[in-house]
Amino acid sequence: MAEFSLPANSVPSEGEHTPAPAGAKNVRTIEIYRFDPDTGDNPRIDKFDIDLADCGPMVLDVLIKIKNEVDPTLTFRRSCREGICGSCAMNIDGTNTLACLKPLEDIKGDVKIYPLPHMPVIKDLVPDLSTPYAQYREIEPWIQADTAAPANGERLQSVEDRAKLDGLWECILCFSCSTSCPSYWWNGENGYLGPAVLLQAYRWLVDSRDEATGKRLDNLEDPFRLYRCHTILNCTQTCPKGLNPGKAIAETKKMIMERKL
Amino acid sequence: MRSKLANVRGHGSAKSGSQKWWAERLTALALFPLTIWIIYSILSGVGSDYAAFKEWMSAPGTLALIICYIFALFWHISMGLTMVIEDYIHDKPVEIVLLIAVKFGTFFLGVFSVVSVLKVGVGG
Repeated sequence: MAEFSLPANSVPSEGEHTPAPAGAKNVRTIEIYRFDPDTGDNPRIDKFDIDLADCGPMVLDVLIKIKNEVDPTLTFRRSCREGICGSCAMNIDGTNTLACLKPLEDIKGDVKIYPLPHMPVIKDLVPDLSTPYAQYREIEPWIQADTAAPANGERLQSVEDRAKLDGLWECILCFSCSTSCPSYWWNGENGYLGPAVLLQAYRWLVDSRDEATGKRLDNLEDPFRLYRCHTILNCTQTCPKGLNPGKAIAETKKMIMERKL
Repeated sequence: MRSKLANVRGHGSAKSGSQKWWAERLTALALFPLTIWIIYSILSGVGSDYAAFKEWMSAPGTLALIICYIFALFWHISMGLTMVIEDYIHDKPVEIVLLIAVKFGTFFLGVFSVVSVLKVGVGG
């Protein structure tokens, strides 16, 4: 039947509160979701009062400061700190985004930081993304062409055809969009590929150099893989790169209809 | 113990879903003007007696449009409820029983509605 009750460990309890150091000038409270699989204890929300006068401007800066100076067990992914690697995607102030691109001054009140929603939590702010990675593998995100590549050069593309990839190639696979999608929450494990993977699928559908468009559409045309998208558009609203997965999905549905009508 | 990729691939693509997606849009497109028309017609008949209503409904154009409305409405309801069940009910036997109930239920209600309007529009 439908699940009306929450599974174990769904409601975090109140955790520890670390006060600001003496002489702090600009104190903000940072609330962070904590879960340690080694103890198996119920998740908790720890509060850290941090002096932002001595901290960089972004949410990632404050996380690094806490890890370096207050609690070295705080666990999160980060790498490039400039919105290119997609590692530090998390739920900040109620919205999925990249910690490195989210300015602290844009957040009113306490800064609330949770892992990406509805994914298994490995530890603290680190979600298990192995399902979306497998879904990405399933759409075969590489060029497929039977025509041999030119012997001494690249496969060429007109300026217009290249422009069709704009708004798609910028996706860094942070999965902020997929994990903001209610349809992906309920059916991500039941076949729905989710907005991030469908945007990537469309990126190959419109690549003029690719020769597997029909096969790709066959693979997507499924009540769950593609048509579980109900155009809720949380994906487009939350994308930290300003992309539009909702439009990519709609265009994919149009491509499928074009070969039928 | 299965790999994530095996889970994701499952039984493969059903290679369907587009016709239903198209039918959802077409029924919605039809229902938009038909719903406005039927509400307007009923409201403008407020205060009239049964004979006037029967006369309105027995016009071939009116009766045909009402039957089109019933057909589009119950088809749309059936697809909508099916989608909700597929979204939220993940226990397969329960899901299948509910899907059958929705199909039979909406089909019966649609036929019942058509018979009812025919009885008023054509019958005595």
